[in-house]
Amino acid sequence: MSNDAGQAHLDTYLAQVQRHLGGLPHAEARETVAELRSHVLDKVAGDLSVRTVEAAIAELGSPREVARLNVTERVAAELETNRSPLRVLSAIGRLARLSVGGLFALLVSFTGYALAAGFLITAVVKPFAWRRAGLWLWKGGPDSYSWSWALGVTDNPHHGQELLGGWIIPIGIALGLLLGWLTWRFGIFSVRRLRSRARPKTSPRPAKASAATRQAEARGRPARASSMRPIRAARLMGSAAAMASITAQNSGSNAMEVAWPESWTERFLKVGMPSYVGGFARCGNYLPLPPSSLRRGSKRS
Amino acid sequence: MNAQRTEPADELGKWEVQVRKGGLGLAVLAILWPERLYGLEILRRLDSDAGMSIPEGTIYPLLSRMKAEGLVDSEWVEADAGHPRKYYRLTDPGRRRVREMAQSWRAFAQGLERLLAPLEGAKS
Repeated sequence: MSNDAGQAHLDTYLAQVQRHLGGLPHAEARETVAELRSHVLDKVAGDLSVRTVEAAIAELGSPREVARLNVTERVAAELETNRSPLRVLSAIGRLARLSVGGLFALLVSFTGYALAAGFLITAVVKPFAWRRAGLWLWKGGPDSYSWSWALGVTDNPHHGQELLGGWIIPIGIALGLLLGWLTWRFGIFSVRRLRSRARPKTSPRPAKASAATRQAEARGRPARASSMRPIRAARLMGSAAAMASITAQNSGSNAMEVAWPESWTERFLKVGMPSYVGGFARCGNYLPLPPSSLRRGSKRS
Repeated sequence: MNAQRTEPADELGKWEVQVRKGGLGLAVLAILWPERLYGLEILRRLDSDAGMSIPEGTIYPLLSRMKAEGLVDSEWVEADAGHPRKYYRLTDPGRRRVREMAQSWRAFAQGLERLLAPLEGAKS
């Protein structure tokens, strides 16, 4: 029974990881998930209880974190060999599914390439449609203060004022190339930035004492106690509460979204980790800690 | 508004993390030099032999990148544990790379050692 529950918990976790691995080719995503399964089975060493599985997957990270790390590393590695604008745009498109930063980078890239294409196309078309192609300024009315711009080819050239005339050809080509180049560089920068943000901040940490602890020891002083405890899903709730929640969450389908302890608690506890955790689980729904304990936890000693 | 000052110990910790991060790729390749290993074994060897305890989720993307670069190769092996394990081994380009990285690392470390020699025995 316990093994079944542990196995179900592991399956749910891996299903969530696979769902977030949409940026990888299907075969690669399956292999990544298989390797994570093998890792957890090695960690629990035959004891497939909920508690051991929970502890093992807490070490790996939340499904979204694990997927983000895998996808960003893979995308960044591919960009090292091929940095064509299309490949960069495709890479950002894959990362846009994983974070708000990726989505923002995709929007900026799309806008940048669209503007660059607009300037280049207008410059190329201008000699063949001299009166209809260009950069136009439209005024709302004689007494209106509303203005709008248009770039490209229009059927009503008399309603607006053309701004650059024949200069749109050299300026359009120069601006188009410059915007395209800047957008391409922005895309490469964004992928690198997203990769560094996906990596855990503590990687790789010293195995034993921290630098602060060693420095304190060298001075003959006791090391200061940590004011914040590291976030570990296994520590954030009593095992009984965790087991109850897992049973409730897995009772329907293992494809459903599980209220992953880390993702719930991170949102509420990032400002300060209280030492007291537990007793706030009810039928699989975890409530945030009361404000009093948050305040107490965020005090620095 | 007062700017938050970073304590020297925190700065030292960050520097230490950066140094270790720089050496992580070399450490993983060096661990694979004598034999093929699977992910958890690599993590344990990093911890026990090199004192580098890295977040577990980071090792697989790193190995995947090394595989994409042709430095390591992998194969699934049915283990005695009852489930298959993915073993990694160095390829020939990987062996060449780890030799070059080791040479570069030693030259860097020796140069630094010379600079640090006057600090030996000096009181802080």
